Amino acid sequence: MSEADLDRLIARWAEGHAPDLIARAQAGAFEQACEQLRARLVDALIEAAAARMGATPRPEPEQPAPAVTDRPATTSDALLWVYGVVAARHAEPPEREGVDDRPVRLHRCAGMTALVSEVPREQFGKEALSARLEDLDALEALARAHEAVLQTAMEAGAVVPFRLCTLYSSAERLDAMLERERPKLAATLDRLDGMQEWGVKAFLRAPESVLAADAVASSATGTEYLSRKRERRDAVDATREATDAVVAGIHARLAESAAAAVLSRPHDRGLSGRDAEMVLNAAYLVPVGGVDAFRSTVETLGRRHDADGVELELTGPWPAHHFVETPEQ
Amino acid sequence: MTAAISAATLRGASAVEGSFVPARSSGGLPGRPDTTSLADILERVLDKGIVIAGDIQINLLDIELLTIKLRLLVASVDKAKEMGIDWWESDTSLSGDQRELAEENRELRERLSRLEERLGLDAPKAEEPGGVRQRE
Repeated sequence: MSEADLDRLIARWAEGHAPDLIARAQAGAFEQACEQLRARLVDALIEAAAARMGATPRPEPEQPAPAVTDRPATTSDALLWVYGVVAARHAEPPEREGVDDRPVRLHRCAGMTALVSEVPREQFGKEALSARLEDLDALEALARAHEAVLQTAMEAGAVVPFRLCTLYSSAERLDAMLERERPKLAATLDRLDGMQEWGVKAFLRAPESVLAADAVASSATGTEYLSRKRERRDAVDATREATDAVVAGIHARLAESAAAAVLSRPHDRGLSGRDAEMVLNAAYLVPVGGVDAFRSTVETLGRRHDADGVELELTGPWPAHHFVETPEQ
Repeated sequence: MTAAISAATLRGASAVEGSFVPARSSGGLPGRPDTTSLADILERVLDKGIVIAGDIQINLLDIELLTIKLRLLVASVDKAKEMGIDWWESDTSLSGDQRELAEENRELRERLSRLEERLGLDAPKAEEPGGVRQRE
């Protein structure tokens, strides 16, 4: 038999058996579809019966069983708002309502413990949330609630604060983040253990010469007017130079008493509510055992520089917002 | 709005309370029970903290609030500038030094034009440097 003959024979055989193959495939498809549908029907039947009997429906079979009982089962309508991450030894969530007075829960994964609240997508999805943030009152409420949870959590140990509006669309997505970021988060928690952030601001009272120069009579001549203005400008410049030196000295001294220090931009005059210029806005990371000494240093510096017109203001303890991102990480 | 000076303001011999009382500056909006300054909170929760993106991408600096009311979010100013939002640089009500200069210029120009009126001189062109042309 030649090659060509063999080919022809094979082709003819295949032609003859093709319908058979199709029929078998169809039957097989039916069987498989039937099987899958049957499984779903079984689930639905059981859920309905359980609901009728007043029991909670059993979870989806594909989902892995939660490792801890306090993990919330999020529906597709709910998002998870993350406040921060705390050390695993936290056994209970902080006793504090969260955003929109929602309960705060612990969400554990990969040895990390996140502080979360379940929030409705309707109010916290991208469009809704962006709209809310346009309103200063709403922004304030969210910001204060977020910070309050972190403050309360801080009482039980180190907390790594997350930025406002960090939301995940499911527990699984949050898990994925915690697994991925575990090394960074664990290292940060270690670094912050036993530390507190304290804020120090310095304000400059206008010096006497400046105040005098400002008292210009409205009938002053042009020359007088210009020369008063010049005086004021010179006084301000001189003061500024002297103040810069004082402020640099204060910051250096405080940084010595701290594990780390971060300078921020001073607030606009109108914002602080004071009739004084903010000349220092800094955050210091201080070990808990060193806080008394730190406060005392601030007091001493305040007394020392009172004559320079510099006033110091201390706030704290804060969760270490300023110290969670480091250049190395 | 004048903020009450809290006990934590350190000046002269004013005492600071014992170690366990958190020291807070007041300066929140009027009527708020919590006296922690909103500016202090916002500069922390909006601009600091761990940088890990969530699923919901809210770019806090895209929000119109921040471009209009940016004076309340001073810590984010540097971030905003990075993104090209810097309209306030020409807004004399926000930048201290520039405000002073602009104010001074305005006052000087007003005085010059008043003086010139009185002396019966022509109004100077805007580009004209220095003072008033004297007539003999």
